[in-house]
Amino acid sequence: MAMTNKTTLNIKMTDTNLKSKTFNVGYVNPESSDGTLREFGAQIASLTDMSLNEVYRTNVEDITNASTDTSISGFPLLTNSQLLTTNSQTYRTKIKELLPSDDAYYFGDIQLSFSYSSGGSTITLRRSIDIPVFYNASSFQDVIDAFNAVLYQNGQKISSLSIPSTGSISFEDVDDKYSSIIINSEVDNEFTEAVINEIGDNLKEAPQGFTYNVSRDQTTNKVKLIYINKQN
Amino acid sequence: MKFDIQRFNDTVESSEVLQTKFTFTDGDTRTVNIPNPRNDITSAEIATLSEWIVANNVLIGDQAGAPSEGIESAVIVGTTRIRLDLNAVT
Repeated sequence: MAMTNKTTLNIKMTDTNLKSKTFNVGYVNPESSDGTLREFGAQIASLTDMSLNEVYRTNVEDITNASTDTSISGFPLLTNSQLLTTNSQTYRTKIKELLPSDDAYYFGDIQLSFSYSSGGSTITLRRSIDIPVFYNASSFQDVIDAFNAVLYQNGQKISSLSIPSTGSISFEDVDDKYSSIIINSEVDNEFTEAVINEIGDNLKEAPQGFTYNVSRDQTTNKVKLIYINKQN
Repeated sequence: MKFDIQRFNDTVESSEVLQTKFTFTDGDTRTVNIPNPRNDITSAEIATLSEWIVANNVLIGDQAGAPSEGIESAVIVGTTRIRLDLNAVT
C-alpha cells in the first residue's frame, strides 16, 4: 500500500546539564497551524524538567513508485535485486569505517532484530544488525525520526526511542495492509545505503511478499526512509 | 583464569521517561516516550493535555490519519544502568 504524504512533529528540549534531547511525537494533522504545534510542544515540555528549544515538522513523501534508476542527492534508489545481492559483510565493514572517531557522544547501539508472523507464531530471522546512536549528533535525531510510528519496543509501538535502548522491530500486519521499518538516512548517504543493504541481506530469509519502498524528506530532498512491506 | 570485578568505580546512570499512550478513533494506538518527566506530574495535567489534543485535533493515527481520542494511559518508567569498571579487573 502506498503511503501518502504525512507530517511528523519533532520537539527539541534542553535539560539542566545543557544536553539537548529531541524526540518525535509521530504524525500530526497537516492542517494544524504553526501556533497550534508550538503550543503542543510547549505543553509537552511543561511535563518535563527541560526547556523547550525547537518545534519543527518533518514532511515525508512516498516515492515508492518512482523510477528505480532515479538518483536523489546522489543516492541511487536500489532495486530489490540490488538489495538482495549485496555483500553485507562489505557494508558492515563500511559502517564501522564511517563511525565518528570521537566516542564522547557514543550512547550505544540499537539492536534491530527481524521477525515476522506466520500462522500465529513469530519467526525470527537469522541475523540482527546494530545501529550506533550518538548523543547530540545529527544521527541521533535521524534515528529517532526514522523510527517514528513503526518501532516496536518490547512488543509495544512507540514513536520515540529512549537512548540508550535495545529494542526489537517486528514486522506486523497493520490493518492487513503493510508493515514497515524505517531507517536513518540524512547523516550520510553512504551510511544509509550500508544499513539498507544490511536489511536487504536479512530479507533473504524473509517470506515471499516482502519488498521495500524508499521515500525522501521533502525538506532536505534526501532519501530518508526505507519501508519493507508485506504485500497484500 | 578467574576474573574478579571490583565494583568501586562502577558508575550508575538512571533515566526516566513518561510513556503516554494515545488512542485514535480507528482503533490505532501510539506510545510516545517523553524524556525527563517532572517528578510532580499530576493526573490532572495529563488529562488537560489529553483534552487539548482532542480539542485541537493535533495528532492523527498512522494507519488512516484518524483523529486522536486522547491519552489512554501515562506511565513513568525508570531505567537504571550500571556501567562496570572493567579497568578494575584483577
